Amino acid sequence: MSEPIEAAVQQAAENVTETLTGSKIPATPEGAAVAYSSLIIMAMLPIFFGALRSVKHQTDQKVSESNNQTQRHVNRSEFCLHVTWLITLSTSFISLHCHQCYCDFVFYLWYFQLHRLLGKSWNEWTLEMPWCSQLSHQVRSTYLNNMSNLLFLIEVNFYCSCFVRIVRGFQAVLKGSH
Amino acid sequence: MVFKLFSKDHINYLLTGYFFFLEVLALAHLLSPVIGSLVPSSIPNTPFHISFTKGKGNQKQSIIDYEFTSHDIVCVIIALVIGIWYLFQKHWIANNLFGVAFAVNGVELLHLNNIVTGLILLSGLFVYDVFWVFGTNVMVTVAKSFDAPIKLIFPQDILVNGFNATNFAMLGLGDIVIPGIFIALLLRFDNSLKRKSRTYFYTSLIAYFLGLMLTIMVMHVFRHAQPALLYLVPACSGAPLLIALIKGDIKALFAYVFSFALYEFRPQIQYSLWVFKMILRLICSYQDNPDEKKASKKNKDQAIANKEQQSTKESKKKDAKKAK
Repeated sequence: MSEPIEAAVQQAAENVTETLTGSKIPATPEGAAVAYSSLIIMAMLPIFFGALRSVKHQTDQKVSESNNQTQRHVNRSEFCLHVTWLITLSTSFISLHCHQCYCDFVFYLWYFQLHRLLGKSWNEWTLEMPWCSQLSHQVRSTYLNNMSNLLFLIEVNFYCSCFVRIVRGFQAVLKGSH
Repeated sequence: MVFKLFSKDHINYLLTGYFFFLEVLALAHLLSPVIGSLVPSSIPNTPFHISFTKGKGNQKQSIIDYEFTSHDIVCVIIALVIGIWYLFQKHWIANNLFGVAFAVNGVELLHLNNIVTGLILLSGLFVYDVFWVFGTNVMVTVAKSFDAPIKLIFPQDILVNGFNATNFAMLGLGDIVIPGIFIALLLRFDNSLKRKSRTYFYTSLIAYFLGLMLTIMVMHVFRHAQPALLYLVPACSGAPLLIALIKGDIKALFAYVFSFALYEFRPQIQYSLWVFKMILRLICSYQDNPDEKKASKKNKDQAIANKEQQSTKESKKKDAKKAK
């Protein structure tokens, strides 16, 4: 009976020292060297082999390349999608420290620009994107065109609040443990 | 209604199950070429093809279109066994296997299409990482408490305690995948130059190695958790640009655009994203329910947004029923 309790106490003591110093106290220099060198190896190997395999994908796909005009357009809309996600995530994080209304303003500005940048509505744009078209296919088929803009904005707002809450949840857990 | 029935444990189980599913897919995808080369050719490799289509003639749409072989089934079984091991023991070896599988798949499947996008991504995440590690304690908490293979861990006391060691050193997967996709882009650029040398790829890989070494040294000296991207981003983006300046390739580097077929059907990514979305919804509507009420405008706004969300969900369900 006593062994697990001792182990638990030891673990708790370790945790306390960890939170106090912010890092772990290495057992021995040799042990730390082994741990870090194997971490480096484990980090380098995926990059090396992943890069090689991505080239394999590239050679496979070159056959099915479509013409240049649509390609450029697709690249542009893809870029817009990336930036949209970046703004969604960053505003959700920033809203932890600022008021939500600033973030909403940033959102508004971005979507306003996006409309001009793409020259078409969200509805048409989402049709082109593979995952959007898959995800919002039902929405589009059931609602009128003018509804889906609003729906998408609500959806984005919703994701934003999700991230904020998850992060706040972690903070709450941390406060509770002290 | 449904959310009141579930407790927080159930949602944890759901997340664990989701990650289990992803892990098994990722590891099976990683293993399939390895197993394929290991199995002797005397054992037949039977191909299978699952196809599930909607509509007729021109309106035919494929819902499921998946080809696999008997070797892939072996891979999935191996991955399942390791996954169950991880589920019950949470052992660090299983964790690392899945972490490496995630990293390889991430580097392989996430494509950057030009250098400028890559640089923007790297610098943006650089700022993020620094802010979250030094400014707050969120990142360290998430890294330590989140119970999924989103990090690589290795015990520092392995020489003393063997395989049951507990004092872990850790490295986030983001610190591998994000520089990794940039390095993969440089490899594609090397291939497009057609010089039969991988100058930029090896340069950035060595720079990545040095950046990691620097991270660990700084961590050792200051005894504080370090944002690895703080050192990796300048190394991985600076070294190739410097080499390009010296060799005079800088224009070609910035003009290079990697184009790929966007319409390619990737069921794994799409379905897993959909499931992740659903789980997020579940978590958040669960967090709405508890009795803590704060009379702030923010919460009210979110409540309104969520109500609308729920009403759309209900109408979606109705429509689905109608369609049936």
